[in-house]
Amino acid sequence: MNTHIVLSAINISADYILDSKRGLYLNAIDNVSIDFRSDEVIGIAGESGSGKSTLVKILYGAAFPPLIIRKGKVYLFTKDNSKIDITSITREELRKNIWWKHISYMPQNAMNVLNPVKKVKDQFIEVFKYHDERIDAKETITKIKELFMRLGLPIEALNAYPHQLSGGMRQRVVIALSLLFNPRIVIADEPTTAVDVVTQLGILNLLKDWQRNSKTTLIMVSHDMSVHAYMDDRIVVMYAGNVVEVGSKNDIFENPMHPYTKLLIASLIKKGEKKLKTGIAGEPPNLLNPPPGCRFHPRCPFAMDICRREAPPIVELSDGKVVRCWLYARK
Amino acid sequence: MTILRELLTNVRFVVWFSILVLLLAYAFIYPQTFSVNPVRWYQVPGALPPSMNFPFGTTLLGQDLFKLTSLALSNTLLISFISGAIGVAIALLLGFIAAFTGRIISGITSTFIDIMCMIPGIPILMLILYAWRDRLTMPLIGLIFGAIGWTFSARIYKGLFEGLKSRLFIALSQYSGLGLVQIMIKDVMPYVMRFLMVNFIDITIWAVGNEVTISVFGAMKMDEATIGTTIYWALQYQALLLGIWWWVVLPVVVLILAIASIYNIAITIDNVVFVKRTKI
Amino acid sequence: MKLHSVKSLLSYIAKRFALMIIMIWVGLTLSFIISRLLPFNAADYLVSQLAAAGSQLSAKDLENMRRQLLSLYGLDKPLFVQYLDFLRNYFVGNMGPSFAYFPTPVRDIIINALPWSIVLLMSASIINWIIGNVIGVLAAISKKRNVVAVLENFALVTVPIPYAVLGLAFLIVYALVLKLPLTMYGRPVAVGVSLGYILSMFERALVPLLGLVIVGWTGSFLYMKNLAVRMMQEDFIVYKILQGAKDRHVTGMVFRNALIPQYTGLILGLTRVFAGSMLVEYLFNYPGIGLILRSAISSGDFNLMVGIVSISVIAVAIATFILDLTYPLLDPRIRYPGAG
Repeated sequence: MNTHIVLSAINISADYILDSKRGLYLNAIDNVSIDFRSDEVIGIAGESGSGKSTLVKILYGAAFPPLIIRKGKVYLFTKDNSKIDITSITREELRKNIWWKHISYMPQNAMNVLNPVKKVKDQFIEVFKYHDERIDAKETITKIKELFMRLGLPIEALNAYPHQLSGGMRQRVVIALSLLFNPRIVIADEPTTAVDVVTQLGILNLLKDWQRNSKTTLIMVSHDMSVHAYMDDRIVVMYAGNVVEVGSKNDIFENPMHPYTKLLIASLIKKGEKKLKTGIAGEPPNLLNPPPGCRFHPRCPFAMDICRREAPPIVELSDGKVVRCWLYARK
Repeated sequence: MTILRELLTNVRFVVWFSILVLLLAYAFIYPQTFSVNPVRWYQVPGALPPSMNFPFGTTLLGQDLFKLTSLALSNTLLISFISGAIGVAIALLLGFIAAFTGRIISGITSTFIDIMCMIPGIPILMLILYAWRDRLTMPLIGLIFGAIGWTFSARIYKGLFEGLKSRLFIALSQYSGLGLVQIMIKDVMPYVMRFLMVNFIDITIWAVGNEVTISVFGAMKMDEATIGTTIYWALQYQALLLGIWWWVVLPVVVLILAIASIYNIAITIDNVVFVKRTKI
Repeated sequence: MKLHSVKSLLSYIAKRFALMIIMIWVGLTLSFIISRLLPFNAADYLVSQLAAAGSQLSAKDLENMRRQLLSLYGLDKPLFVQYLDFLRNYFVGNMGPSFAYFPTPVRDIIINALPWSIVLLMSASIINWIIGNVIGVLAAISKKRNVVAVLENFALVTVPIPYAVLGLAFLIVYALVLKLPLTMYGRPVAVGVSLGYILSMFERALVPLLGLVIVGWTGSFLYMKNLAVRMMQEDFIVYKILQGAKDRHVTGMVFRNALIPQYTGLILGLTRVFAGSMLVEYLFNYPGIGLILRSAISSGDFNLMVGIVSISVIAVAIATFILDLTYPLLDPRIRYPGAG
């Protein structure tokens, strides 16, 4: 496949500061490295608290206090082959040149991120203003109209206030906003969580079509495995701040390697299945005080002695698969 | 109890509490030692600046300002505390009605509360006090103040009870009758008590302000000593122009101390007892 | 969509108007109750006041006046009729004669003083609100911790102290510390729409206005700062930041959105400013309603007092209504009811 890396996270570790005086930190991300390629839909899967949202915020460059990056780097590779260190450049640089132009972000709870006192079309015009694009209202409207048509939004929505639109429509407006400058990378954080299943399908199809047409990178964060099954080319599975497995969609669903992934897939309902499903015993660990060694070992049916003592290494297998587990490490 | 210990180790609390205790003694105990009512004119040589004999100086009317201020403070505080208590009681009752009764009654009560909030109370108070002042005593005046000052607190209680209403119904579905009572005591009471204290302080301080305003305008019982009436006489007799600054400044300073001490005590209690207990 | 918004707007205005009418009615009723629930007979009272002040009216004139007042008050008629007469009179603006300036109608005295009070009240409210809100937002966003801390401490110290006491403190500082003159103006310029009148109003209003504004902004400031700090965490603000909004855009947005709850604060705070302005008028000899009230009390002019109470309620009710009318301009959710 003729793809190249557009975004690269290397050994990222990050904490949330709860109380610096008392030394209370919540370790949200622990030693995560991922490469994101062009023309792919890559999903980040995991339960609540696994660190998915935190990771993408760091990728975007939005690591605001109380979130601090302890170590690691994030590199953005642009179309003209320059390499930008997202973790080091200033916020002003990010704001002016990177955000929305190279990479855009659809936050969680997208239905409530629109300014309630401004009409929709004004919010689009504002985005142009933020990036110093001298564009007059008429040109903007023309550009937006095209976008709206492609996304299936009625033109009348431009003159409405956010509270007059339904949840699904607001979600599409947010998508439209993200695609305004044709970024190479789009991060969608739980885009389907707050909508009904019918609207979900519409939104997912919208995103999928756009990605196929533009051959860009779509990073889908979701705890819903069915979304990943529908959308992704590759999946990154996270647990308690670690990346535990990376693989193609088929590999993950049909041949999961990490014990967590195995249990996760086993708990999904497949069409026509009549067996009773079991969840995973136990609870995710307290990230204020994570367990020593592998963070999954208290719940892992294959836990060995070494799992309790040492954190497993990141094992890279052939064809891009990555597992972080002692079962696959050569000691 | 640990609450008591926490309070006693809180510097801010201890300082302001001591000041308040001193002021209360000054206002309520010291006047018991008077043989003559310090309000009486021409008791002592007039217009003397503060000295060893007269710590606050004397007024143009021949009154010992130190003794006069203590009596004045006691009356002002008496009126204000009573109005605080009455105001909170009325506000609680109306807020409760507005939240817990059927649609029509609660609607009327709500609108009533909102309208009364908007009606300016000071002119009405002045009118009432002026007309009735010969028949009123200090506590009665406090009652009348309270009857006007409940409005903003009533809104707060209405909001409070409405919020609690939804929580109660949720709890109802989970517990049997006896459990509900326990919920009310453990959950509801501390919350309501916090607002009781805050509103009491609010209305009390509001009443102090009103008392001063009404007295300065001359609508109060002018033969009684309150901080407000003292200032009234001082202004009437052009104390500032004549250079008798202590007549105006010292009672005001004492009043500010009193208000600040009450307020700070309330804030520290609020912080220690309520706010800290809901943090992580 | 257009038709829908006009209907919801109209119903909003109608509701607010009804509220204003009810408020005026309640206020007038209260005035009536108080003026009738006197521990003395108003007519006798006036006569005895005049006689005590050594008036030059003969006994026959006094008796005439007494009868006039009786019929004016309708004290010979049943209470309910008195009530309706009272309301009817007020509706046409007849508030009866002043006791102290008999037979000058109360209405005339009040009309002379009312414009002054309205100017002071409105400018104080608006200036307080603007200063408080602007500084509040700036303080929430600013990185200069020291300046913000100073402002906040000043506000925290002055907010609990009732305005009466602060007003007196201002007077003390003004007269004793700065030694500025208290009465430098003569009688106020007569009412009229002339430049001289308007100029004289603003000139005289400067000091009372300063007295009100110097501590009046603190309430809005504290509230706005806390509101703005919380709003910075709001989803849509964070979203705008991630979209690439500059700091000044964010400030504008926070301000614009925080304005809505703050506007309610403006409306509610009218009564507070009203109380403060009455005192300040008296302390600084500003010819508004406050000063008139003071002289009414000292001369026992009961009719004038009742008139002032009624006017106060009416004025605040109208001011509230006007502010309510402008509210839909701020919050589009009132103009256009939402879909969900």
